[in-house]
Amino acid sequence: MTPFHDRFVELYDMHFARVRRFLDRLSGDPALAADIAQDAFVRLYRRGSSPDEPAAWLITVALNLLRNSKSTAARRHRLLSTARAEATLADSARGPDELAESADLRRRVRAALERVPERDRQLLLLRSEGYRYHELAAALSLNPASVGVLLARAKRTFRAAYEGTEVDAS
Amino acid sequence: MHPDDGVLQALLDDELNGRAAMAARDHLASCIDCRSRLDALRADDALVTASLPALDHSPVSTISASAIVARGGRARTPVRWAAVVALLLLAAGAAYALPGSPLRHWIAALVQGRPKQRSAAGIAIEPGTRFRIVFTPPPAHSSVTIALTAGSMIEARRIAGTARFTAGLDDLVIEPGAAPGGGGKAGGDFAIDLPRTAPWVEVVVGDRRIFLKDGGQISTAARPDSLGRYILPLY
Repeated sequence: MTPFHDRFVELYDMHFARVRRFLDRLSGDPALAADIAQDAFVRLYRRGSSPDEPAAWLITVALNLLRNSKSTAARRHRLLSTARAEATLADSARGPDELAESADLRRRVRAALERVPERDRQLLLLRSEGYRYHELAAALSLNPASVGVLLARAKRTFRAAYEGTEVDAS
Repeated sequence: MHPDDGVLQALLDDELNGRAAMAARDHLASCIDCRSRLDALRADDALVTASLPALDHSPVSTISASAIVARGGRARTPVRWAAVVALLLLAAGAAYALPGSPLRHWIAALVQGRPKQRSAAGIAIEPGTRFRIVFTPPPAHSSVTIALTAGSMIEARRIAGTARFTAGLDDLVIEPGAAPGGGGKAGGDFAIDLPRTAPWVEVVVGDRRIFLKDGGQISTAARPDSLGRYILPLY
């Protein structure tokens, strides 16, 4: 085992689940999210040493991989898993009304999120995973001093979209 | 001076240093307006926190740290890759030469560009310049919800259960199959997400067009609902 091995396992335990969830929420595609999270950690392992800001490094790599995946011909079409189809049948204990309500809620949240500009959306989703401001700034190349105001704006835009009202661009 | 939204948000997120946090709290103690702005930010936080889990899917199978270590530790030198490729080519050649080998059929299917055909809960596909989605045969008692999204892929899903999706280069055929618990009748609801940037997409049931997106123009019998989605019967 290399000296980096233990550190890698520690980083995996600390970050894998939230990187995957962030990508899932961002892309709406759990299989793609899992693929990209795995690829990001494979790259971390091959790097052979821990970056100065591992959280930011992993997010930057994952976002680059996600961007590339959108333009990869191999992904021209993908069969979606049952989970992607709103995870409806997976939970047989839930009745049709509850399933429909859950699907509606997901669509409503997704629609609201898509109205938030891309960088603000990433910021919102990363913050919801507990990333600190300095990590957000490093991952998204932002001025750390502007993270608070961008987050406040992103949340306001989300609320306006969720409630079905437009935010004044000014 | 009133703190800006960034300072208030940072205060909520416990991201202000001790001195800045104390100054902000002192100001809030004597400023009703800023307290109400802080409350609004807190309410936005609560809405986001409560809403985002609705997007989560059950985790699909993922790789463990030890599997990544095993995968990442593998040497990937050009020489080793060349050896692997040569070995695969040899094996493929031998398999092709065997009488009755299924490999011949597979290669023939690939050469002829046979479309992918699989039962699944849904499919994501790039829209190209002109794209046609066909439901056949027309499913009874079913509807499709069509939403325009910021994504780059067309996503067609069956809300409950699976259907047969056959994807060609410029078309997608959806065969609904039996609805779960539907006594063998083809039915159940579908959802289609269309990228707003898709240039031309039509949705057809049997030989009847029910929806057309031509650039920014939408032609369909239904009006969009409050979320901008079109809910259309498929029968």
